[in-house]
Amino acid sequence: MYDQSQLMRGTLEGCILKIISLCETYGYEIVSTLQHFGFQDVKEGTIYPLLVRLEKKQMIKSRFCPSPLGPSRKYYSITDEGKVLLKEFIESWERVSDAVGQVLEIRKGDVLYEDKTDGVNSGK
Amino acid sequence: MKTKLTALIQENDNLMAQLKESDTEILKQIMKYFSLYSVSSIDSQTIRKDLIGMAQEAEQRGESLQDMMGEDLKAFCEGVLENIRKDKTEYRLRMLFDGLVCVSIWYLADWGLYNSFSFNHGIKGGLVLIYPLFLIFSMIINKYIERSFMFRRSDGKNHTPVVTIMFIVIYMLITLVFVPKDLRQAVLFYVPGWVAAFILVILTAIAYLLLWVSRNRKSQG
Repeated sequence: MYDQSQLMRGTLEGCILKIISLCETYGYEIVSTLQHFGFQDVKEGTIYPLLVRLEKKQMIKSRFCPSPLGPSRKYYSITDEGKVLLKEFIESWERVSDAVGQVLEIRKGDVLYEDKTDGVNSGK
Repeated sequence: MKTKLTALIQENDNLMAQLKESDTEILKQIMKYFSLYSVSSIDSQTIRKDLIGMAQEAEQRGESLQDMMGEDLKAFCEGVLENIRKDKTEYRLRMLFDGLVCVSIWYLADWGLYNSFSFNHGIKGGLVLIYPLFLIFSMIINKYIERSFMFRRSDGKNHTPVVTIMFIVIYMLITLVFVPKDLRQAVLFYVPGWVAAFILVILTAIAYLLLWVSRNRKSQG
């Protein structure tokens, strides 16, 4: 079975950064948003190491605030460095997803690319 | 005066006492795992605070910390460890302190079992050879072997203490069998038992003091 963990690792960080960039938010809300958009297997334990990483790199900052449920809650917000990283992530993602999309659409017999030395390569 | 670290530990202890037993158990395991690596105390207590908050919220929703973490606690710990500050000095001091505690326990057992805490008991030549080896062995046991067995809980029980005791017993048997009796008994120099015990206590206290100073210096910095 295909192991999604490696694929998820890089993309989740960008998604978390995007969610935090929208408004100040906390762990459970980030998980709920991710699950709503299809990341069904994501739990707080999955995103916590990424939040620690982003905070250490000063891409996000945090503060404790009282929550309606009682205990104080850790809220995360994006920093200026985080906004730059998010912009770079979006650009990289668009390039990669476009490239992956094109590769996955190749059918047998299609012209793969034009090689300047050997001529045309095909997927035969 | 309370340091930032002491205050954080106290706050965490108070909050943790209010958690469900199953959540407390998971938190203890996670913290124990971090203690096997060179994680600074301030980082480890900050993470503990975050996890307590996570557990509190989970309890309010009728869930458990395990539900939040998923089944693979080791993967979670490894993920966090990749991203936090390492403190080699504190780590080495903690290893030394743990090792000295183990040696002290063994020395007291040896003193009590074979000499009935007689003040005439002296440090023998062979023991001078064995104790430093046992110190190194204890330090390795405490860290590396525990790392491997921490989260292997197929039957829901923590095997770490069993594994540690098993290796210590094996080590003691090996030294008894392979270190010649005349070497063990040979008196290279004579130190009364109470002096040796005093030296061990002082060494352990110094190691702990250095560890405490190192932790607090980092938390204030």
